[in-house]
Amino acid sequence: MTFSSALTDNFSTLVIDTSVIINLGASGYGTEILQTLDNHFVTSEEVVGEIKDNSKNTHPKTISFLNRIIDSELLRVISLTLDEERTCREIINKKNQIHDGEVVSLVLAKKRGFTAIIDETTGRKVANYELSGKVVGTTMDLLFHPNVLALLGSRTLSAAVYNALRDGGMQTNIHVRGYIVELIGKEPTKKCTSLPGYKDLMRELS
Amino acid sequence: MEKGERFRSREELYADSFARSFLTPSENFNQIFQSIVKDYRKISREHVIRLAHQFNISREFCVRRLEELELVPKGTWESMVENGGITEKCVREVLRDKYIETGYAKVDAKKSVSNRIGLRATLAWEQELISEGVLSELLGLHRIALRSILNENQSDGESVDDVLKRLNR
Repeated sequence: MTFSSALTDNFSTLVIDTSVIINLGASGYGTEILQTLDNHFVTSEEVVGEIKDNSKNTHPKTISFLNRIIDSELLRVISLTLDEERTCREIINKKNQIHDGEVVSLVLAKKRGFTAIIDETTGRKVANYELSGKVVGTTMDLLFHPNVLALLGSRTLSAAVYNALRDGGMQTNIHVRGYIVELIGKEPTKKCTSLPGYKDLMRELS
Repeated sequence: MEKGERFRSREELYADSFARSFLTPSENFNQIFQSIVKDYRKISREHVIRLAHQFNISREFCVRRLEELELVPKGTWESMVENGGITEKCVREVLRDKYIETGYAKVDAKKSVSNRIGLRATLAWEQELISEGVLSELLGLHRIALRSILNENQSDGESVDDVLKRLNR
Protein backbone atom coordinates (compact mmCIF):
# COMPACT_ATOMS: atom_id res chain seq x y z
CA MET A 1 0.00 0.00 0.00
CA THR A 2 1.31 3.47 -0.82
CA PHE A 3 0.28 7.05 -0.32
CA SER A 4 0.90 9.45 -3.13
CA SER A 5 1.32 13.07 -2.02
CA ALA A 6 -0.93 15.53 -3.83
CA LEU A 7 1.99 17.95 -3.68
CA THR A 8 4.40 15.92 -5.82
CA ASP A 9 5.55 18.18 -8.68
CA ASN A 10 3.68 21.10 -7.14
CA PHE A 11 6.05 24.05 -6.77
CA SER A 12 3.51 26.69 -5.88
CA THR A 13 3.56 28.62 -2.62
CA LEU A 14 1.82 26.65 0.10
CA VAL A 15 -0.45 28.47 2.54
CA ILE A 16 -0.60 26.52 5.78
CA ASP A 17 -3.34 26.54 8.35
CA THR A 18 -3.29 26.31 12.19
CA SER A 19 -3.98 22.61 12.25
CA VAL A 20 -1.03 21.93 9.92
CA ILE A 21 1.30 23.99 12.11
CA ILE A 22 0.13 22.02 15.16
CA ASN A 23 0.75 18.69 13.42
CA LEU A 24 4.17 19.64 12.08
CA GLY A 25 5.18 21.00 15.49
CA ALA A 26 4.04 17.81 17.19
CA SER A 27 5.90 15.67 14.63
CA GLY A 28 9.21 16.80 16.12
CA TYR A 29 10.65 17.18 12.61
CA GLY A 30 8.54 20.06 11.29
CA THR A 31 11.47 22.33 10.45
CA GLU A 32 13.39 19.56 8.67
CA ILE A 33 10.29 18.56 6.71
CA LEU A 34 9.64 22.09 5.47
CA GLN A 35 13.33 22.43 4.56
CA THR A 36 13.21 19.38 2.29
CA LEU A 37 10.47 20.85 0.12
CA ASP A 38 11.13 23.24 -2.75
CA ASN A 39 7.99 25.27 -2.08
CA HIS A 40 7.69 28.58 -0.25
CA PHE A 41 5.46 28.59 2.83
CA VAL A 42 3.16 31.34 3.96
CA THR A 43 0.51 31.75 6.58
CA SER A 44 -1.86 34.51 7.57
CA GLU A 45 -1.77 36.93 10.48
CA GLU A 46 -5.06 35.36 11.61
CA VAL A 47 -3.42 31.94 11.98
CA VAL A 48 -0.44 33.39 13.85
CA GLY A 49 -2.86 35.37 16.01
CA GLU A 50 -4.86 32.27 16.84
CA ILE A 51 -1.71 30.49 17.99
CA LYS A 52 0.19 33.32 19.68
CA ASP A 53 -2.32 35.83 21.02
CA ASN A 54 -4.32 33.14 22.68
CA SER A 55 -1.31 31.47 24.27
CA LYS A 56 -3.32 30.13 27.23
CA ASN A 57 -5.28 28.07 24.74
CA THR A 58 -2.30 26.93 22.72
CA HIS A 59 0.05 24.04 23.31
CA PRO A 60 3.56 25.38 24.15
CA LYS A 61 5.13 23.06 21.55
CA THR A 62 3.05 24.71 18.82
CA ILE A 63 4.15 28.23 19.80
CA SER A 64 7.85 27.37 19.90
CA PHE A 65 7.65 25.61 16.53
CA LEU A 66 5.84 28.56 14.97
CA ASN A 67 8.40 31.03 16.35
CA ARG A 68 11.24 28.88 15.03
CA ILE A 69 9.97 28.67 11.47
CA ILE A 70 9.10 32.36 11.33
CA ASP A 71 12.50 33.39 12.76
CA SER A 72 14.36 31.16 10.31
CA GLU A 73 12.27 32.64 7.47
CA LEU A 74 10.91 29.27 6.46
CA LEU A 75 7.44 30.66 6.97
CA ARG A 76 6.34 34.12 5.85
CA VAL A 77 3.38 35.79 7.54
CA ILE A 78 1.19 37.78 5.18
CA SER A 79 -1.66 40.24 5.59
CA LEU A 80 -4.84 40.35 3.57
CA THR A 81 -5.68 43.10 1.14
CA LEU A 82 -9.00 44.90 1.54
CA ASP A 83 -10.45 42.90 -1.33
CA GLU A 84 -9.33 39.63 0.27
CA GLU A 85 -10.82 40.72 3.60
CA ARG A 86 -14.12 41.36 1.85
CA THR A 87 -14.08 37.89 0.29
CA CYS A 88 -13.35 36.38 3.71
CA ARG A 89 -16.36 38.14 5.21
CA GLU A 90 -18.56 36.89 2.39
CA ILE A 91 -17.46 33.28 2.98
CA ILE A 92 -17.80 33.56 6.77
CA ASN A 93 -21.33 34.91 6.35
CA LYS A 94 -22.23 31.92 4.18
CA LYS A 95 -20.27 29.24 6.04
CA ASN A 96 -20.05 30.07 9.71
CA GLN A 97 -19.08 26.53 10.69
CA ILE A 98 -15.45 27.02 9.66
CA HIS A 99 -12.80 28.96 11.48
CA ASP A 100 -11.55 32.38 10.35
CA GLY A 101 -8.01 31.03 9.91
CA GLU A 102 -9.21 28.37 7.46
CA VAL A 103 -11.25 30.93 5.54
CA VAL A 104 -8.23 33.23 5.24
CA SER A 105 -6.07 30.34 3.99
CA LEU A 106 -8.52 29.43 1.30
CA VAL A 107 -9.02 33.06 0.23
CA LEU A 108 -5.25 33.45 -0.12
CA ALA A 109 -5.19 30.30 -2.25
CA LYS A 110 -8.04 31.62 -4.34
CA LYS A 111 -6.79 35.17 -4.86
CA ARG A 112 -3.03 34.65 -5.07
CA GLY A 113 -2.80 31.23 -6.72
CA PHE A 114 -1.30 29.53 -3.66
CA THR A 115 -2.06 25.94 -2.70
CA ALA A 116 -4.03 25.68 0.55
CA ILE A 117 -2.92 23.10 3.09
CA ILE A 118 -5.89 22.44 5.36
CA ASP A 119 -6.50 19.31 7.45
CA GLU A 120 -9.95 19.97 8.79
CA THR A 121 -12.65 18.05 6.90
CA THR A 122 -15.14 20.88 7.21
CA GLY A 123 -12.57 23.42 6.04
CA ARG A 124 -11.53 21.20 3.13
CA LYS A 125 -15.11 20.78 2.06
CA VAL A 126 -15.61 24.55 1.86
CA ALA A 127 -12.19 24.94 0.22
CA ASN A 128 -13.03 22.35 -2.45
CA TYR A 129 -16.18 24.29 -3.22
CA GLU A 130 -14.60 27.75 -3.18
CA LEU A 131 -11.47 26.74 -5.05
CA SER A 132 -13.41 24.67 -7.58
CA GLY A 133 -11.14 21.76 -8.30
CA LYS A 134 -7.81 23.25 -7.24
CA VAL A 135 -5.60 20.94 -5.19
CA VAL A 136 -6.07 21.31 -1.43
CA GLY A 137 -3.30 19.54 0.47
CA THR A 138 -3.06 18.18 4.02
CA THR A 139 -0.28 17.60 6.54
CA MET A 140 -0.15 14.04 5.19
CA ASP A 141 0.74 15.40 1.75
CA LEU A 142 3.65 17.31 3.30
CA LEU A 143 4.86 14.33 5.35
CA PHE A 144 4.58 11.92 2.43
CA HIS A 145 6.15 14.20 -0.13
CA PRO A 146 8.84 12.16 -1.97
CA ASN A 147 11.53 14.68 -0.90
CA VAL A 148 10.87 13.95 2.78
CA LEU A 149 11.45 10.23 2.34
CA ALA A 150 14.44 10.78 0.04
CA LEU A 151 16.20 13.33 2.26
CA LEU A 152 15.17 12.33 5.77
CA GLY A 153 14.74 8.57 5.34
CA SER A 154 11.97 6.20 6.37
CA ARG A 155 12.96 6.04 10.05
CA THR A 156 12.56 9.81 10.48
CA LEU A 157 9.36 9.79 8.44
CA SER A 158 7.94 7.02 10.59
CA ALA A 159 8.87 8.88 13.79
CA ALA A 160 7.39 12.13 12.48
CA VAL A 161 4.08 10.49 11.54
CA TYR A 162 3.91 8.65 14.86
CA ASN A 163 4.63 11.81 16.89
CA ALA A 164 2.12 13.87 14.93
CA LEU A 165 -0.56 11.25 15.56
CA ARG A 166 0.25 10.55 19.20
CA ASP A 167 1.20 14.03 20.44
CA GLY A 168 -0.71 16.21 18.02
CA GLY A 169 -3.80 14.07 17.48
CA MET A 170 -3.34 14.56 13.72
CA GLN A 171 -6.49 13.76 11.74
CA THR A 172 -6.06 11.53 8.71
CA ASN A 173 -8.17 9.92 6.08
CA ILE A 174 -9.35 6.34 6.58
CA HIS A 175 -7.91 5.36 3.17
CA VAL A 176 -4.34 5.92 4.38
CA ARG A 177 -4.79 4.14 7.69
CA GLY A 178 -3.38 0.86 6.41
CA TYR A 179 -0.33 2.59 5.03
CA ILE A 180 0.28 4.35 8.36
CA VAL A 181 0.08 1.06 10.27
CA GLU A 182 2.58 -0.44 7.84
CA LEU A 183 4.92 2.52 8.25
CA ILE A 184 4.92 2.96 12.04
CA GLY A 185 4.24 -0.62 13.10
CA LYS A 186 1.39 -2.30 14.97
CA GLU A 187 2.46 -1.58 18.55
CA PRO A 188 3.02 2.19 18.09
CA THR A 189 -0.31 2.35 16.20
CA LYS A 190 -2.08 1.38 19.42
CA LYS A 191 -1.09 4.73 20.92
CA CYS A 192 -2.49 6.72 18.00
CA THR A 193 -6.08 7.25 19.08
CA SER A 194 -6.72 9.92 16.45
CA LEU A 195 -6.59 7.38 13.61
CA PRO A 196 -10.02 7.13 12.01
CA GLY A 197 -12.03 4.13 13.25
CA TYR A 198 -9.49 3.61 16.02
CA LYS A 199 -11.65 1.20 18.04
CA ASP A 200 -12.28 -0.97 14.98
CA LEU A 201 -8.62 -0.94 14.15
CA MET A 202 -7.68 -2.08 17.66
CA ARG A 203 -10.01 -5.06 17.25
CA GLU A 204 -8.32 -5.89 13.93
CA LEU A 205 -4.84 -5.61 15.43
CA SER A 206 -5.50 -7.62 18.59
CA MET B 1 -51.21 6.60 33.67
CA GLU B 2 -50.17 3.29 35.07
CA LYS B 3 -51.42 1.86 38.38
CA GLY B 4 -49.49 3.37 41.29
CA GLU B 5 -47.91 6.08 39.12
CA ARG B 6 -47.76 9.55 40.69
CA PHE B 7 -49.62 12.32 38.86
CA ARG B 8 -47.24 14.80 37.27
CA SER B 9 -48.07 18.05 35.58
CA ARG B 10 -47.39 18.59 31.88
CA GLU B 11 -44.59 21.06 32.81
CA GLU B 12 -42.99 18.47 35.04
CA LEU B 13 -43.14 15.88 32.27
CA TYR B 14 -41.61 18.32 29.77
CA ALA B 15 -38.85 19.24 32.21
CA ASP B 16 -38.03 15.58 32.80
CA SER B 17 -38.03 14.86 29.13
CA PHE B 18 -35.69 17.80 28.48
CA ALA B 19 -33.35 16.63 31.24
CA ARG B 20 -33.23 13.12 29.78
CA SER B 21 -32.45 14.37 26.28
CA PHE B 22 -29.88 16.84 27.56
CA LEU B 23 -28.03 14.39 29.78
CA THR B 24 -28.28 11.41 27.47
CA PRO B 25 -28.86 12.45 23.84
CA SER B 26 -30.48 9.38 22.28
CA GLU B 27 -28.04 8.99 19.37
CA ASN B 28 -24.94 9.12 21.55
CA PHE B 29 -26.53 7.07 24.26
CA ASN B 30 -27.51 4.35 21.77
CA GLN B 31 -24.12 4.42 20.17
CA ILE B 32 -22.18 4.06 23.41
CA PHE B 33 -24.63 1.48 24.75
CA GLN B 34 -24.01 -0.65 21.63
CA SER B 35 -20.24 -0.33 21.96
CA ILE B 36 -20.42 -1.42 25.61
CA VAL B 37 -22.80 -4.38 25.26
CA LYS B 38 -21.30 -5.52 21.94
CA ASP B 39 -22.74 -8.97 21.13
CA TYR B 40 -24.29 -9.78 24.52
CA ARG B 41 -27.99 -10.43 24.30
CA LYS B 42 -28.82 -9.44 27.86
CA ILE B 43 -27.73 -6.34 29.71
CA SER B 44 -25.63 -7.00 32.79
CA ARG B 45 -24.87 -4.90 35.86
CA GLU B 46 -21.39 -4.33 34.49
CA HIS B 47 -22.86 -2.80 31.34
CA VAL B 48 -25.03 -0.46 33.39
CA ILE B 49 -22.09 0.59 35.56
CA ARG B 50 -19.92 1.35 32.54
CA LEU B 51 -22.64 3.23 30.68
CA ALA B 52 -23.67 5.27 33.74
CA HIS B 53 -20.03 6.09 34.37
CA GLN B 54 -19.51 7.21 30.79
CA PHE B 55 -22.43 9.66 31.01
CA ASN B 56 -21.94 10.63 34.67
CA ILE B 57 -25.50 9.66 35.54
CA SER B 58 -27.00 7.45 38.24
CA ARG B 59 -27.41 3.74 37.50
CA GLU B 60 -31.17 3.98 37.92
CA PHE B 61 -31.43 6.95 35.54
CA CYS B 62 -29.30 4.99 33.07
CA VAL B 63 -31.54 1.90 33.09
CA ARG B 64 -34.74 3.96 32.99
CA ARG B 65 -33.42 5.78 29.94
CA LEU B 66 -32.55 2.45 28.28
CA GLU B 67 -36.08 1.27 29.00
CA GLU B 68 -37.53 4.46 27.57
CA LEU B 69 -35.51 4.04 24.37
CA GLU B 70 -36.63 0.38 24.24
CA LEU B 71 -33.06 -0.81 24.31
CA VAL B 72 -33.88 -3.04 27.27
CA PRO B 73 -37.27 -4.47 28.35
CA LYS B 74 -39.49 -2.44 30.69
CA GLY B 75 -39.00 -3.48 34.30
CA THR B 76 -35.26 -4.13 33.92
CA TRP B 77 -34.41 -1.79 36.81
CA GLU B 78 -36.98 -3.40 39.13
CA SER B 79 -35.67 -6.82 38.23
CA MET B 80 -32.09 -5.73 39.01
CA VAL B 81 -33.21 -4.28 42.36
CA GLU B 82 -35.06 -7.48 43.24
CA ASN B 83 -31.90 -9.45 42.51
CA GLY B 84 -29.70 -7.49 44.87
CA GLY B 85 -29.30 -4.24 42.90
CA ILE B 86 -25.97 -2.69 41.99
CA THR B 87 -23.84 -2.32 45.08
CA GLU B 88 -20.92 0.05 45.56
CA LYS B 89 -18.73 -3.05 45.78
CA CYS B 90 -19.79 -4.06 42.23
CA VAL B 91 -19.09 -0.52 41.00
CA ARG B 92 -15.65 -0.49 42.59
CA GLU B 93 -14.82 -3.86 41.00
CA VAL B 94 -15.90 -2.78 37.53
CA LEU B 95 -14.44 0.72 37.50
CA ARG B 96 -11.30 -0.08 39.49
CA ASP B 97 -9.05 3.01 39.36
CA LYS B 98 -11.80 5.07 37.74
CA TYR B 99 -13.97 4.57 40.81
CA ILE B 100 -14.22 7.70 42.91
CA GLU B 101 -16.44 7.73 45.97
CA THR B 102 -17.20 11.44 45.82
CA GLY B 103 -19.67 10.86 43.00
CA TYR B 104 -19.74 11.31 39.29
CA ALA B 105 -21.11 14.83 39.24
CA LYS B 106 -18.16 16.19 41.19
CA VAL B 107 -15.69 14.41 38.93
CA ASP B 108 -17.42 15.75 35.86
CA ALA B 109 -17.45 19.26 37.29
CA LYS B 110 -13.68 19.19 37.57
CA LYS B 111 -13.22 18.42 33.87
CA SER B 112 -12.61 21.30 31.47
CA VAL B 113 -15.48 20.00 29.34
CA SER B 114 -18.16 17.72 30.74
CA ASN B 115 -18.79 14.33 29.16
CA ARG B 116 -22.06 15.31 27.60
CA ILE B 117 -20.71 18.54 26.11
CA GLY B 118 -17.77 16.50 24.79
CA LEU B 119 -20.12 13.99 23.21
CA ARG B 120 -22.28 16.67 21.64
CA ALA B 121 -19.22 18.50 20.34
CA THR B 122 -17.91 15.28 18.80
CA LEU B 123 -21.22 14.55 17.15
CA ALA B 124 -21.40 18.04 15.64
CA TRP B 125 -17.80 17.74 14.44
CA GLU B 126 -18.30 14.27 12.97
CA GLN B 127 -21.33 15.50 11.08
CA GLU B 128 -19.20 18.37 9.75
CA LEU B 129 -21.54 20.95 11.25
CA ILE B 130 -18.65 22.75 12.89
CA SER B 131 -14.89 22.78 12.42
CA GLU B 132 -12.20 22.01 14.95
CA GLY B 133 -11.10 25.65 15.05
CA VAL B 134 -14.56 26.97 15.86
CA LEU B 135 -15.09 24.28 18.51
CA SER B 136 -11.77 25.03 20.14
CA GLU B 137 -12.75 28.71 20.38
CA LEU B 138 -16.22 27.94 21.73
CA LEU B 139 -14.98 25.51 24.37
CA GLY B 140 -11.87 27.54 25.24
CA LEU B 141 -9.57 24.57 24.68
CA HIS B 142 -6.34 24.36 22.74
CA ARG B 143 -6.73 22.20 19.69
CA ILE B 144 -4.63 19.28 20.92
CA ALA B 145 -6.79 19.06 24.07
CA LEU B 146 -9.90 19.28 21.93
CA ARG B 147 -8.61 16.55 19.63
CA SER B 148 -8.19 14.17 22.55
CA ILE B 149 -11.85 14.78 23.50
CA LEU B 150 -12.94 14.19 19.91
CA ASN B 151 -10.87 11.01 19.71
CA GLU B 152 -12.19 9.71 23.01
CA ASN B 153 -15.76 10.12 21.80
CA GLN B 154 -15.37 9.24 18.14
CA SER B 155 -17.96 6.78 16.88
CA ASP B 156 -16.82 3.31 16.05
CA GLY B 157 -16.53 3.83 12.31
CA GLU B 158 -20.31 4.09 12.17
CA SER B 159 -22.33 7.17 11.47
CA VAL B 160 -25.17 8.14 13.78
CA ASP B 161 -27.57 7.22 10.98
CA ASP B 162 -26.00 3.77 10.70
CA VAL B 163 -26.37 3.20 14.42
CA LEU B 164 -30.02 4.24 14.36
CA LYS B 165 -30.74 2.06 11.34
CA ARG B 166 -29.14 -0.92 13.03
CA LEU B 167 -31.11 -0.30 16.21
CA ASN B 168 -34.38 -0.11 14.33
CA ARG B 169 -33.78 -3.35 12.46
